[in-house]
Amino acid sequence: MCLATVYVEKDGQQEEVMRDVAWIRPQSGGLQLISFMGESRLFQAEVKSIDLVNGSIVLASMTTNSSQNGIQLEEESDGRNDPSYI
Amino acid sequence: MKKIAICGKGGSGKSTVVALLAGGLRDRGCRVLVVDSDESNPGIYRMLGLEKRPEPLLELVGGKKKVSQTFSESSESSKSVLMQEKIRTSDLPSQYVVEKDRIRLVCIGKILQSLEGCACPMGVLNREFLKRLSLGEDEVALVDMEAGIEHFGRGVETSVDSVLAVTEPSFDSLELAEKINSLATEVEMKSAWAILNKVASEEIALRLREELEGRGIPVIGSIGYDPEVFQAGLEGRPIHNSEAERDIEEVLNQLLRGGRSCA
Repeated sequence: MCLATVYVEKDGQQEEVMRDVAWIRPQSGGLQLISFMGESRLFQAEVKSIDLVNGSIVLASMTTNSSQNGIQLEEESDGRNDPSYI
Repeated sequence: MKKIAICGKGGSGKSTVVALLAGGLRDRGCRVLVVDSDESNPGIYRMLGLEKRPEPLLELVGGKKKVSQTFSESSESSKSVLMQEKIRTSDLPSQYVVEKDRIRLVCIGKILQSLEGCACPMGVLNREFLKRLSLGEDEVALVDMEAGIEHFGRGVETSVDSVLAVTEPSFDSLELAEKINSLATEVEMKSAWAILNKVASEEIALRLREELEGRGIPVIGSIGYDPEVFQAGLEGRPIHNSEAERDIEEVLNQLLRGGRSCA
């Protein structure tokens, strides 16, 4: 699918962090990922690889912050919004 | 059985089955929401006896060209009803829903121009709309899918309860029904059936049933070849007083688990 699933790589392992990513914008110190349904998250990261055939993007990252772009979403309980998560 | 995706090969009669089911469910007291998920064919509204098409839900987020701006500017419009955790049909602005006789129609989106890009955003919107769609006790959603199986790749079927594979008397259609059943199993669908369509004789119906059931696919009913369906399709109007309407009763009995009504 054209919309991408984004993974973050750490210690050689890839973990899915967002599906249906439609836009990626450079922001100060990182990348803003926005899903087609409006979820927005900021990663202090760089792109490691983009696979357009399989719709996957891998980031190499140090920290993450969450923003909701005015859209209410359930807080994730696995610590993904914790800046120390990645 | 609240959210039912109607799938199948191109030309197998998906929209016809949707229209027949919608009328039958309405007659049994259900409120029916038809979700037009076909990115190509525009005419389901005529088959349902509606006078116009609804505006596509994709326009609620600005359409394909403006949706990026919608989300990047954090504007009021980005707080669209489509981003609600639960969406009721009554939440949708009136131009996005066309209704007549307890049958409502919404449309996800249509391909409008050459070279406009693929339909993936519509697939995502379809999946997320169906996932968030909150139906009343007496409400049923019938999803008229795009021909083929690409929508499985987009995960649309993860948001519905049941899949109906419309199967016409052809080997290709049988094979696709088997593939649909297999894909439905992969996403742990609660129920998946085949429904026979355009069946010209009892002998052909029996042969198709045996073939499908031999492949492990339950058959929920059979619609005979009906000149009225052909004529209605030719004239772009609803089906009236047809054998097909009587044939769909068997399917409705199973969908409603033997009950006579939605209530």
